[in-house]
Amino acid sequence: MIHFDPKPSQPGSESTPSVCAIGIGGAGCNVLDRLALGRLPEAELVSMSADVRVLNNSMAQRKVQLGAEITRGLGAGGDPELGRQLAKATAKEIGSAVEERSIVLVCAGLGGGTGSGVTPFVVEQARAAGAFVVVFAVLPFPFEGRRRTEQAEATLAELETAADVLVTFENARMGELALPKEGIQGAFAAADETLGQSIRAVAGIVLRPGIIRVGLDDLTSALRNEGSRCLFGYGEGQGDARATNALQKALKSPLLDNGTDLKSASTVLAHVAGGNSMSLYEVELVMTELAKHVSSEANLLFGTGTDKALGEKMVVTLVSSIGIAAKVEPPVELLDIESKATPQPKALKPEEEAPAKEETPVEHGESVAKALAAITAAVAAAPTADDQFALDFGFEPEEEQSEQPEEAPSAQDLLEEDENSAKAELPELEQKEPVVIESLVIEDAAPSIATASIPTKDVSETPAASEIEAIIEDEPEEIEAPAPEIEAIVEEEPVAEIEAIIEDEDEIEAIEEPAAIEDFLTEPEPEVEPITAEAPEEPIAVEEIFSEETPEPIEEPEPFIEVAAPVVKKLSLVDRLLQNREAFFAEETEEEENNAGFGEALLQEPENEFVPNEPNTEEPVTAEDPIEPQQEQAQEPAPFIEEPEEVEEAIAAFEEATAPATLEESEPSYYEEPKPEPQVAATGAGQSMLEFGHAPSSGRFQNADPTISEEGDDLDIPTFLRKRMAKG
Amino acid sequence: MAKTNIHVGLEIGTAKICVVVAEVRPDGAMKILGVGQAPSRGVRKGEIVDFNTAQTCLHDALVRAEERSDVMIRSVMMAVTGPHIQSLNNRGRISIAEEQNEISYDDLAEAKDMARNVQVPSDNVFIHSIIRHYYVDGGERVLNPVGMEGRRLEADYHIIHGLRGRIHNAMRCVREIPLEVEDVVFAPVAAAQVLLAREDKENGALVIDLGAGTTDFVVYQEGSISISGSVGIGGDHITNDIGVVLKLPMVEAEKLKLKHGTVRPGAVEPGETVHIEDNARFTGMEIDREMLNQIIEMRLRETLDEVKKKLASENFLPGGGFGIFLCGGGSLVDGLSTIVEDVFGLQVRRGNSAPISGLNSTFENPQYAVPIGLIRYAQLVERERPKRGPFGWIVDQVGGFLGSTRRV
Repeated sequence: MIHFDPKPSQPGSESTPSVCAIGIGGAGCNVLDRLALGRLPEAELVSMSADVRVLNNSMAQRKVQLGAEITRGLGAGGDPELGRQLAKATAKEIGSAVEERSIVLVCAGLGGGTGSGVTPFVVEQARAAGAFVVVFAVLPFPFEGRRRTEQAEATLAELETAADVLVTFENARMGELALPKEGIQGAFAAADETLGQSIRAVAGIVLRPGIIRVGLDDLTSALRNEGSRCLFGYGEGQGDARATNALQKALKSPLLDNGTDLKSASTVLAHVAGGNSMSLYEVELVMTELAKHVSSEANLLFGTGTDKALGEKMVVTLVSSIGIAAKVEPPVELLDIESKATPQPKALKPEEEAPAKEETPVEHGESVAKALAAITAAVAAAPTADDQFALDFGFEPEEEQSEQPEEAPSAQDLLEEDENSAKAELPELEQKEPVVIESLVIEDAAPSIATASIPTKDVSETPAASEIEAIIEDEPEEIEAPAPEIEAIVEEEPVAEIEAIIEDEDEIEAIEEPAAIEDFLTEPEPEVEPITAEAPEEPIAVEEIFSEETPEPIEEPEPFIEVAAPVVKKLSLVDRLLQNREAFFAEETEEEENNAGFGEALLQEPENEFVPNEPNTEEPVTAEDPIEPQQEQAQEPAPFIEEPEEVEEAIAAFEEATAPATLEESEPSYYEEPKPEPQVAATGAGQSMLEFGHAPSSGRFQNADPTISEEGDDLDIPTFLRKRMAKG
Repeated sequence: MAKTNIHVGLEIGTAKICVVVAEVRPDGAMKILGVGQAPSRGVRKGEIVDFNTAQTCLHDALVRAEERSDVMIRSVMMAVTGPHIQSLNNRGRISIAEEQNEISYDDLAEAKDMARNVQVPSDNVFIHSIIRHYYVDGGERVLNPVGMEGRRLEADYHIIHGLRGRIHNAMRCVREIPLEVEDVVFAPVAAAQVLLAREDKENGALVIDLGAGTTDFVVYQEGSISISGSVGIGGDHITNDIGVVLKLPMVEAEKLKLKHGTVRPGAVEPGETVHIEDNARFTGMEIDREMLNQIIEMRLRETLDEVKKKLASENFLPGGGFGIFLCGGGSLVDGLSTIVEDVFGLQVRRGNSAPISGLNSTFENPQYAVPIGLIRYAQLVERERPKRGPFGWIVDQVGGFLGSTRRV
């Protein structure tokens, strides 16, 4: 989280993040060239290589030759150790390339000397300089040998801890991008292009001014899984069907496997961009279509923005990842959760605080105690950060009330336990989770409010389904229902809870920092209360909306549809038709309220067609028996639909109404003069008209003079509907 | 009159406004010089509902026709249609004075007046009074009784009349361009002139003009018009049906109709679907072709049934050799003739290819039958006029509509 800084921000901070894209080694520089060809807004391209040939060919604005004295312009020869030396030798230049950058995109092919050796160093430097680092790592082909693969994996493990976001691409998979006949040149070009696109997209969606902005946090959560495969889709569309075209292309991106992979992703970031002509409808179209490809539990992060440079184009970018963690959901243990959650805080680390190394990998589960401990400690350490603390603390109650009762008393112990267990489990987890210990130690050493509170916020914001489920399985008695968090808060009175917690904390912390606890006690409460006060309103508001809406369908008679429904159900075609019609009517109910009934529409003067409850004095049928329709109307609600006899009655009545005798007298089929009719009286007659429901819409002829056949049918109503009705 | 005349046929249709400029040679051959066409707006069911919009469209079409034909259009023959137009047959009887030996033109005129002395709604105006047959002393049909001797002259007239206001509105729309309206012709009557050869008229023919807003028909029997009329259903209704039933925007429905609509039996497999591409305003969807065709077929059948009902009420009795001729945009529906033959139990024939030269694609398109027919009609009227009425097989004019100038 980058929190608001009231002071004027220093250059290169949030408002206009300065981006640099670094390509390391031969592979990285190739991708960078792709970027240079395309459009990467406001990003400086830096190529880093030990090999002069690579640098010579590179199109980057800035070129850094690594260890010129050591290799004398040759490559690292596939030796990561040498690569490391090269990097150290060129530390100054690397440092100057990444300094004052808010986002650094690093692209490298792992497994080689430069890629494997230099990349971690560069990432470290960038992190140290306070940048948010996204690493795009390309894994070598399997046929390149085991050693290379091992080197790549070792680097990958390093990068996982070092980088904020790590995106991995498998070369083997990228080979599939190109058509077999295209040859190796094409295959590599396609692979580079895909990588380039993804880098561009990451830069673009973060940098592009958005109506709904996508931030680094969204990006982080979309790419969170360790050892994961990046799912990335990019599509451009133009012309009439640009929205779908763009989405289809994005889904067809080879890294997405036609969108099938998205099903297993727990978080999907979708960004829709377009020129100024892009309409909300098109965005909606993309998102509804995309929703079909994404599992319903997935967290769909959505961003949209316009960019004049796109002109008439529309661009859809999908970013997600599936990893081992996401796939092996069911047997998740506490430690797995921990390992999953650990990298988050790094990503959310505010830039300003980066030098302080405030990485606190506190996972939401058992970590609340730790968080609180950290908070209390931090309050003492840094009481000036109150505002920030309060901001973040707002998200905590839910966690506390669910976790605290058992854990609070032993919070301190648990904290230690966690560390111990993490250490104990380390050999197994090494690949996934080597950071934990390190960062935990850091946390203990210099915990801050902001970072301590981050995990809880993160959990509440992005409750990846799998994680929640895992929690439920593990701690069923603590979290009763994952969804109604708000209600839980309301019911259990978190203020009291917190006080209780604080009391608990007292016991623990009082020994250490009694003054800090007082601060703590006074500060958070006013912040928590507004939230609890808001919370109860929400469900009520929803109910109110419902209670307002529900009466409408009941009051509003739509017998026409309902009558027809059971009768025609036998015919499959008509079934569909009916569905269409019901949907149609559902949309048009408001309009049709004002419309006269079907029967009446035929009888009435066209000019009076739209007057509701139009009294028709000339028509004996309606005027004489106002009682019968009222009875029928009373039966209307739900059961009425299922009664077949009543349906028949209604149909008979409908047919009566549609075959008025008066029509034969008026021989011309057009109506000119509106007969002066009293608009006020005889609502009863109008009700009887409503009884027969609304006319099956005659569409564009709805407002025109009806074309009446000799039988009295309104010929403007689709024959299809009328014939089906008659048959039914 | 051995001089070349240029005529302009104008049809303000529901879907399109079409202007055809053609040159009529002394030998009767016709050469199309240019066609101007514009999509029609403000016209519904064959009637102008939005004056200004319709006028703008008309102007477009005229400008295009002028550009292509390089003719400055001053006056036009105009086709009218609309469900308000009705027809009836009436017989006028006069007794020839004792002292008169033979029947004169004046007698014919008098008989015609008698025939036209028929009760029509007061708002209505005569569009055509077309002579069908003369009978002298109740004998056989006589084509031209002038000079014959007889005591009693009877004249069968076919009278086509419509709402004065609507016809005048259409004329006003044209006159405000400004453009002279030479004559007003009921659309199917015009179409028949180009579709039907003389034999067809003798054998008996039903011309059905399936327009966008109306379906007009005219029956020729024994060489002359016997029944004509208009049904206020057309291709627009098909589009509308598709739109309403399948829940499509009308634009998409129209495209779907033109591209995939067919009523040919067995044209589609059960379950066959067609995908509609989405666009900025519309979400794409799959359409069941069977259902689509069913919607079209039902509407077409109903339209034809309506025509059939109107014919039946006029005691329509087709004899042997009777044929049905289709024109108008609706006649382009794939497999329409099957349905027409099914409904009427009569054969569908191909229209006559009259001696027309020029833009071939134009006169072969059934959509242009009416405007081209207007020119043929003008040609025939002109041929009749100087003789002042030998009354061949067509036409008598309603005096008021005759254009005074023939400068084209």
